[in-house]
Amino acid sequence: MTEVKLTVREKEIILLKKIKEGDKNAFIELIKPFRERLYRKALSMVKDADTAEDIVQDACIAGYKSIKNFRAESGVYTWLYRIVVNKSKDYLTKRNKNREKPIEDGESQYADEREGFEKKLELSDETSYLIGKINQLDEAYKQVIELRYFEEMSYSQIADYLGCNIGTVKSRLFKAKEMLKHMIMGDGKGGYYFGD
Amino acid sequence: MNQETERCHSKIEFCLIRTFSEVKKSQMRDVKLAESFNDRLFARLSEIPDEKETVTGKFLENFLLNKRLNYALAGSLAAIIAITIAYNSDLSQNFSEPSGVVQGNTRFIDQPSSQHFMTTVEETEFINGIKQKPDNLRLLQELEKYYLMNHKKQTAAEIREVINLVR
Repeated sequence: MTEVKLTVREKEIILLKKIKEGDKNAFIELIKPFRERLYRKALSMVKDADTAEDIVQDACIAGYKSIKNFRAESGVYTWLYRIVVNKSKDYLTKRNKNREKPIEDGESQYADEREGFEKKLELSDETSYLIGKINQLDEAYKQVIELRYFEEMSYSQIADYLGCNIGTVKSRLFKAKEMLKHMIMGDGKGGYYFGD
Repeated sequence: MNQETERCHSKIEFCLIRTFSEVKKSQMRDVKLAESFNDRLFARLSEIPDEKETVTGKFLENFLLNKRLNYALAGSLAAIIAITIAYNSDLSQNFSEPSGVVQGNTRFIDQPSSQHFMTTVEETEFINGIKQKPDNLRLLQELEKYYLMNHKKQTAAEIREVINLVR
């Protein structure tokens, strides 16, 4: 008997149906392919392993409770990713309110810590350099770069996540690459990256 | 986008893919979710009470979510309204008489109520029936005289018309 191969989306739809019928194991199965990615995203934002795990757990619980409202068009990962990011931001906002040192205008605690976090990973000089340049971009451009090349989202998924149209996503990506090009050339590394 | 820009962007894209691939590999090596994550999540999920879907609730949810059905109903409603407006406007089209005229079927035939409305076939049979007996024609003439003497000219005129058809 020939086994029918299901696409990722088809598997998601089958699991979602089971979850709506109260199958909790189906929910565990649903998030299995991307729970690590969600955890790494939370960790990159909050910089603490236990907190990041709590955030992912909370995001999963919130997702399970609102599963009836979930429309499969945007994909499960994009949906949970949004919840994780929002919960991480809420955590950071609450934590920053309790900080002794006030955050000055223009200072982005999140961006600084993100760069510090990546420094803890063992990365090559080239990778560290490019990460540093990406972190210097404005938030809107840094975000599309991350969603496209780190989260590997499609244009439509990015558009859905950001609440804009695909044209805007492509435009921002184009501008982000242009800015990176100018920064690299400004550092005198154009020959290395774009050399003939 | 010119060729030079396209070339640079392609190289940047390649570098970005390589960069983030390295970051992910490093994270997977150095950053791992606790093994108890699933057990802990399942325990928390078990605490959430199941919402039993009632038949009515499921029906309503499917009904409201059934966009095709909603569009079909909206379309039907729009068609019914359009037809109703068109029908009503058609009825009121000839209503130009002064007040006091009862609006209704304006396509009536202006005939006295005493005259039977007959089809051509019925009329022919009626006339042929009268012709069969000569006395019938005489009776019609007497009737005409009676109505004329009683000043009922309209009725007398109608009988005259029948007499003319019989002759």
